[in-house]
Amino acid sequence: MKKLFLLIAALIPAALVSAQSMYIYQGNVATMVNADLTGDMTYSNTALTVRGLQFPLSTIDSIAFSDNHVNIDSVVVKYVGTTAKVFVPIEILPYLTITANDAHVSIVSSQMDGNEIKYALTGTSTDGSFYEYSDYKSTLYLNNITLNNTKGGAIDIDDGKRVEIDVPDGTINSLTDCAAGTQKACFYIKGHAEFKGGGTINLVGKTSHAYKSNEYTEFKTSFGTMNITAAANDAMHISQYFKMNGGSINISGAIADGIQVDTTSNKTDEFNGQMFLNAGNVSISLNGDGAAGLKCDSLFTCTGGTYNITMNGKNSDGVTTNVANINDATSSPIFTIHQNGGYLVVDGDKKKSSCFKTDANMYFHAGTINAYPDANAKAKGIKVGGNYYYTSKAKTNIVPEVTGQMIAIAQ
Amino acid sequence: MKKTRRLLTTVCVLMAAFQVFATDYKYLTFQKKDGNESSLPLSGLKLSFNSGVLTTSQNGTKTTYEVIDLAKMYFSETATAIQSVQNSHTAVSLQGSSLNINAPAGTLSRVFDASGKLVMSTTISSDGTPTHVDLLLPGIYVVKTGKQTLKILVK
Repeated sequence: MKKLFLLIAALIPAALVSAQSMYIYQGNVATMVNADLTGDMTYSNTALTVRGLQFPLSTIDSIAFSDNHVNIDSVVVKYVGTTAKVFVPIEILPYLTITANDAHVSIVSSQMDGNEIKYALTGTSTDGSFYEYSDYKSTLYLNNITLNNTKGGAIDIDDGKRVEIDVPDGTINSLTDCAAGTQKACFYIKGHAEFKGGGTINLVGKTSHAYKSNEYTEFKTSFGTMNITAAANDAMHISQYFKMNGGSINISGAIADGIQVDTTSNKTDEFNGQMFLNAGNVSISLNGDGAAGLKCDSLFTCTGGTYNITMNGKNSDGVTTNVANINDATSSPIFTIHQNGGYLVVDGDKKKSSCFKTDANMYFHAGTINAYPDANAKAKGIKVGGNYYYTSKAKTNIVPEVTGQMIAIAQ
Repeated sequence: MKKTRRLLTTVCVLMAAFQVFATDYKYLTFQKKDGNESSLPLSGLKLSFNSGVLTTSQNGTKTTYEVIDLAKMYFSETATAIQSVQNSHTAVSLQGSSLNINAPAGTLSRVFDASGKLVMSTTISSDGTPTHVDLLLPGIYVVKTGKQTLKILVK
């Protein structure tokens, strides 16, 4: 019943607005105006004034009309080849500084009232990028966008706040950055990122990480798929914490780690250095020496999901963390980890590999770990630096070579 | 279940009722500084500016306005004063309280007042020669010329 009232509340305003809109084209920017909000548009000899904003006639390429209603909080960027067109509602135009050099689009927001601006990217560019800066939250829609940047990163969001990345169902989005650049990642978010929507994101990171956020990243239950097929560093490098509540991640071709979570400089940040894997599917195949499939500085918590990890590099671990807590709060998690790379000799010391490694305690309440260490290379199945606590619901296949003290937990 | 069905019916009725109030703009109306107005359908309409001249283009037909003569433009639900339909070679313009009708010879043009009363009826005698009609009284009139219907305001 409550939902019905919400539906009514949503539909009635929608029925009242007109569908017509006007597009004022000036170079790479098109200003969008809803007809019902326009009123009189006045002429001087040199300018057209619409809703209090002056448009010099000499800068107007054309004005066109459409039978659609414009969302007054949404900017749309359409990429075609080496060009991009930015569509901006007139309501937020005064707050935005838009620079579009060919298909390299930069939008700096000075909006002061805290209203969230939404950005939708669509189209294909063979040499394009998107940069956005704001002091407030924002939403980024990836709506079948393909960006290949030959000069830097593909997407750089510089908000320092919550950035929601909505990947609509059925969309396929592909981002590729340049090699030997200065960017931190192909897809970089300065802020905390929340991914949702059932579409797909394909990433290739040629300079460093494929994906990086300097604060937490969360995959919502609705999230679709992230495929990373190459990274010159980590496939995903996340600061503060990573929480996965759904979706799929497929990683291959990364030189360093699959998913790494490190601590932020502010040690009081919530869940600093932690990884929460609650649901979804993760598949990682790496060849780099010294790499880790899943790595976090602090607590590794897994309450469900499926994890298939193959490590072919020397001195590489499938999972490495300080403390691990594996339980079935969401569903019974299943890890299948192959370690094929063996050890690395450094200064005469053998640096060995493990399928699952903790520096301190491991609490294995429920789930399954299938570990396939390369026994000939003295790799270990499960290596625990502290105590190993387990219950009868904790299943391991292949004899886990557990160092540390094994302590059963009473059910 | 019955309650839900009743509520859904109410929603549908309300939606239909509110849809009536949603404004549907079909025209862009230009007003000149002398008060004359002309309207163009929005469908396929495009505007561009060059050296003080506004050019409208629509379905391959172009119209020009001197920007210096223009006061404003606005969206409207109905056409006012002029609706240029070039294909039928029909144009109606208002100058003060005089109506100029330019249409193919033989076209019947009728003017109705706001109450629907026929106040004038004339048949265009020749192509290219505007027919002048004096509408002395201020008010809203509907001009039907051939297949074209326009609403005009005499101030």
